[in-house]
Amino acid sequence: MTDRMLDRCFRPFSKFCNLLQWFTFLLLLGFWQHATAESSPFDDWELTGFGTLGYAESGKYDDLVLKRNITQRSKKIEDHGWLVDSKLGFQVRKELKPHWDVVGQIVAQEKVSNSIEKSIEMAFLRYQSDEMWSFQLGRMVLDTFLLSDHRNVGYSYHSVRPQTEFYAWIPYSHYDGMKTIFEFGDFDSSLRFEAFIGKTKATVNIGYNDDDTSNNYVKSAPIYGAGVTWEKDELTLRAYIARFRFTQNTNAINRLMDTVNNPLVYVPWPESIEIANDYSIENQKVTYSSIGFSWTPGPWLVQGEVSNVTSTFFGSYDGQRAYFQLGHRFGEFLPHMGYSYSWDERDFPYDPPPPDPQLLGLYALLKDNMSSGLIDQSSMTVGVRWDFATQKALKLQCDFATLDDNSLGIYPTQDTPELGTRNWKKSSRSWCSTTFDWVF
Amino acid sequence: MNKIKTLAILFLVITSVETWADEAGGTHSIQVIVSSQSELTSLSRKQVMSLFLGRARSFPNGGVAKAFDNEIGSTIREQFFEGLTGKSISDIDAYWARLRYSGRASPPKVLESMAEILKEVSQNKSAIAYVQEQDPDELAQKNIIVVHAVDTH
Repeated sequence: MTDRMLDRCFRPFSKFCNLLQWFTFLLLLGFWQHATAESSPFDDWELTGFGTLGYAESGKYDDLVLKRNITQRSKKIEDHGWLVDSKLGFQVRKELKPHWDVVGQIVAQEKVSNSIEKSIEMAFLRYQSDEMWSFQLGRMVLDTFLLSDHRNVGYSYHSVRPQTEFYAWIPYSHYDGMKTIFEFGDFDSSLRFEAFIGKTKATVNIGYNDDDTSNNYVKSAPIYGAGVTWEKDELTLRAYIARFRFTQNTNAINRLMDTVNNPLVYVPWPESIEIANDYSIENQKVTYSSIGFSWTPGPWLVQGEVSNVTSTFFGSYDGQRAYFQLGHRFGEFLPHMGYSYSWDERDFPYDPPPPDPQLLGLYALLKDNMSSGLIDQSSMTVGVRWDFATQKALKLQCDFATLDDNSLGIYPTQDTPELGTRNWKKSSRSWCSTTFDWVF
Repeated sequence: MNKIKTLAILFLVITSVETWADEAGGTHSIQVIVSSQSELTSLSRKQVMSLFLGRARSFPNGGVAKAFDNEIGSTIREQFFEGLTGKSISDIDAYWARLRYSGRASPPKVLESMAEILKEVSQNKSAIAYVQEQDPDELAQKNIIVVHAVDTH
């Protein structure tokens, strides 16, 4: 079955998912009004939540902005360091009857084109048929990597934020669809298989500007994947593969197409159309594959992941990413350190146009586009988590990042010309961040 | 020389006080309890850990298991999980935050007093909980048996 066929099969089902999301969200809102009533229809609802209040030195440099992920607005983050990691989430869960439950989660955080609908991270119905099989339908968090399904919950991990090289470029945090889980094991170890299919969308801010061509709406259908997790005592091993297809081009690519489709451009320089087509993302596919482990013997914490990203088009994020973390708990304190790397050494493979100033300017622009999808950088992180009270933690962390030539895929530079290349040359930067994380 | 003597005496006093405090505090245990209707006689540490960390949803004999917890922030909860898993209670809370907020599982339901816990376990053959050391005969009168003990300091 091709991706297009899967998309068509999935379309009627997605309308149901949207209804389900809104239903769950309304229940979430309604809970507050009825929570104090003595005999409310919301008895036995679990209402919980999590929050992070943070500050990061995002505007420390005049030529680079620290971002947590590409769904944040660069300019906003630069001017408001407290927005980088701060968030507030609420979750409801209700066991409807034996084997059936519903879960809803909404998270307020800095995001491009923010809306209530985009803030709903989970709204699904689950049927647990027996000890082994369960089926979920609705909106679910994307869990292709070790931390991706709880990366909004700062309290659940020791660092201030998941490793930027590994996690920041992932445009999607959730999907609307269905998921099947099969797990078995004994008291010694467990094995869990899962597979999902759905559709997803997000708006990402590529580059520094906050305009039509920098804020790009990316929609994928279908998105599907499968994974396996093995747990034994303090060791968790996990492997996952996910694939998605972009349904349409972004504003920036449409603008590029309009430019090269001008006879004044493609007649003297026919290759310009080829380059623009190579940048096109419509119907193109991206595959993530990853393996990771987490080992927590006694007070120690060791964790690492390796992933490979491949795509069928030229301008996409590509290459391999990896990170390794080590920590040790001393009572209330958990000092830790980590190293993460993203390899992507692609060059712009096209020859320059005939020597015409306008064409050379366009060539520079096309060449610069690649920088937005290039993450060739590494970070060294040191930090400490202090669990000073029950379910409350303070964290302090400093990151030392080295960005290779033209690697502007996550951290944007303010030096963005109207026409031409940003010409980022290999350089290192350091930022410190602090957060207060809690669950309730 | 006098300074060394003073330091040596100070060291001896401190270590003696620590030893005395340990002995005075002693080792006591927290009992893991189930209903006598569960048909269980004992559980291993690994089995108790799996049940309280959400990794298992049934008893070794196949019966459905539902774990109940003590109040968040209580000393007994801290001692129980640290004694059982060797990890700090903050690590356990972070572990549950991962499971809960990814939608995978919910932590054991919290009951606010020992009386509530004893009542739940005596009436529910799926229930498993933990309490401060009790007289087994008194527990047996309430239809409750001890299946495991976690040593704490």
